Amino acid sequence: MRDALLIARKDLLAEYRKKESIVSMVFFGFLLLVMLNIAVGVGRELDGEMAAGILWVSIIFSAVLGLGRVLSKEKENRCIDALLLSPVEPEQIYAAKTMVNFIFMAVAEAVLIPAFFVLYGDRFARQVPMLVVVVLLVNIGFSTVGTLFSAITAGTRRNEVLLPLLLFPVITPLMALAVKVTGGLFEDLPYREYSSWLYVIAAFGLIFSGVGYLLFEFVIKEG
Amino acid sequence: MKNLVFLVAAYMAVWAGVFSYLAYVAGQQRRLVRRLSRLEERLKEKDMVEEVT
Amino acid sequence: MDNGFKDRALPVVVGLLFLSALYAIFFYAPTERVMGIVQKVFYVHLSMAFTAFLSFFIAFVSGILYLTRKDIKWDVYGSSSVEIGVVFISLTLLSGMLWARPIWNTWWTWDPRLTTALILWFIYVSYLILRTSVEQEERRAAYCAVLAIAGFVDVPIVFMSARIWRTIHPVVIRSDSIDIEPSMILTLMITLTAFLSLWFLLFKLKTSVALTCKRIRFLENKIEGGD
Repeated sequence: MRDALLIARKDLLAEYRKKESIVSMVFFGFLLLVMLNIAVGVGRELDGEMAAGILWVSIIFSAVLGLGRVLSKEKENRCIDALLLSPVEPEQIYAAKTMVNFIFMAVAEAVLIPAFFVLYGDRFARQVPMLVVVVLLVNIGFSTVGTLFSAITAGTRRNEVLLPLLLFPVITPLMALAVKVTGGLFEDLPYREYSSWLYVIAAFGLIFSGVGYLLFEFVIKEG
Repeated sequence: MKNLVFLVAAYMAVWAGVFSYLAYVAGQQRRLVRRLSRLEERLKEKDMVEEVT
Repeated sequence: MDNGFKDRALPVVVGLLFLSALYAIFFYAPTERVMGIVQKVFYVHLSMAFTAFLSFFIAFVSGILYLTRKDIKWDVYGSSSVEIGVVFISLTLLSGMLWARPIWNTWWTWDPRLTTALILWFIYVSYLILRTSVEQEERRAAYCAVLAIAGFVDVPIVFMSARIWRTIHPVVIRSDSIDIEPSMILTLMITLTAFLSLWFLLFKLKTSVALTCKRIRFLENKIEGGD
């Protein structure tokens, strides 16, 4: 675990200095929120689930931007070869990259969700602590699959184009669940109305952390 | 009887799909086998030339 | 020429099975009372759905075997069955839509089964796209194996999450009882056997295409290497 934390720290420091991923993620997400606001009709009253759908589409599209960079950066300067030669285990690299993706997403969301409430109305801001829990659970699911798949696309000719094509079909159920639960929160439904979906979101994260942990090694060694 | 149209359409779609895929794969295989036999001939010719020289 | 005989016998067997399946569907099985004649889509529809699902399961197992054994033949098996599975699941979706239009009065509905089939279609088409974008053989095999495993692991989650939407899909086969007449079951079994034999024929063709490709590449290298 120590190696993972060291690698993650290195990536986060580099991002803190240059801010190249976070800025483009937040900018793109905000842009999408505005564009989708225009698409559904400005000034229209939305119901909870529709608003949740808009929020999640913006978050997921912006998160894909950051995801592609985390591993392809290592590929570009051949840093990954050095990492693989060192005694660091591939699982540690996977854990580190997943953490970094998780944190990038969380930071972007910390800006995007308030921006969403500004644009679409703060009447949706009702069960905020629960919203934070849901968002973090979805982030786990997204970053575990996303890191595995970005390792795959980093080794192909069409890295940036291919990543959403591979990733979106697999995370469609996660997105559907996130929209359902978040929509429930926006409508101020009681916990038991959406709790079973919340467990499925958690299960998604759990299952794919296992899958990523086991399979990452095979992907990264084919570089 | 309006339903019959849909039945016929469904069956036509299924058979068209199956047969065109079958034809596509079989054609692919035939083309490859032809290319393979040409290559093998060329290889044999080359070996003969090498033996002579 | 034992092999040559077998090669020719299999298509004949497949053809005969399909003829008997068609006979059973149209002349043996009774016409359903409520839905009428369009119910006859069902036999083909369910057989293809089952065969497609089987293909993806085989790709999943081949993926695991490739990653543990590193034998390229498992990649050939996996990719062949994914391609056939994509053909079958596309036809499943298409025939289902043509059945749903007269019966449900809509082409599409977000039922767990339909949603799962559609998302499976997306996952495995993306697998085929991934195959075209990696040239180096071992790398492609490893990437595709990982995607085949991750995609199949996703299936139960897709199905669970698709319960979000209400269902109108008929449940024909439950765990405790089967909800149709015996003659219909027999017809279904014959059709299913026909499609499984077709799957096997396509699988053999597809793998021999891959093997011929490999042999050609090997010979080409030999010719160029000798010059």
